[in-house]
Amino acid sequence: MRKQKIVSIVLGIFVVASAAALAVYAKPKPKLNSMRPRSIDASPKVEITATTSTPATYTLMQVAAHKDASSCWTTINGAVYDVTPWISAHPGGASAILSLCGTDGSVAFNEQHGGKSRPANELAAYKIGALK
Amino acid sequence: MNHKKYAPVVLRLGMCAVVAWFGASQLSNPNMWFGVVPAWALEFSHLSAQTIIRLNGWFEIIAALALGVGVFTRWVALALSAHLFVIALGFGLSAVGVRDFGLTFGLLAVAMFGADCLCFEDVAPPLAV
Repeated sequence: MRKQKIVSIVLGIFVVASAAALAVYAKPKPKLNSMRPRSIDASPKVEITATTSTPATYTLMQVAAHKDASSCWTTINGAVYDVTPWISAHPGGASAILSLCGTDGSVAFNEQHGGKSRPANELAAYKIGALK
Repeated sequence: MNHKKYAPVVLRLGMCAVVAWFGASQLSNPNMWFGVVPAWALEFSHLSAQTIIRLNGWFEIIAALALGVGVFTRWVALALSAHLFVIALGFGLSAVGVRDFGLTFGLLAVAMFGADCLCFEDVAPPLAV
């Protein structure tokens, strides 16, 4: 009986400690398909194809140039967003948005807010074009 | 070897691991969880989202420890089941919501079984029907 109690304590603590260690130290790897830049060429072609009459399109290189709080662009699910004003307004803190500046934020956004209408509607307000 | 005897142990420890993972994640990286704090919780508690996440994280860690070691097994599992049910309702019929409904019923099964053969507390008598 005493042995069973010792086993239960050891087993319980081991399971909790293992799961907690996984949560703290084993960060999920980004999905390569959605994180990999889609249109980075060896030659730096920085041409803005935005016009006033058609939806603007941007390359990932152009988005990558806006990588800090002064001008923060991100791409999510094929669209490009200028989320600079949202950095200080994001309920989840500025760091969550700053980490997306200049990169493809699809994975981060979908994992955090995927399927929810409110974040999608808030995001839509910052759309400036599509990813080329 | 009597595998049947260990079925509730596996279920209990599996649920314990899931709850511990979520609790630890909320304490170590609260920023990741801001988006899932329901508006009603903020209005009802008058606490900041960060405080709610931390309190929830500690609750889940302590509950996972109790569930893992096997103390107050039935009541802890029941409380976690109710807790997850509320969370699942908030997510609705999304992938996350459906997963949480599954976990809710897993925890309900632990609560219905009570203490198993590897719990710190004595094996629970079967529920009276």
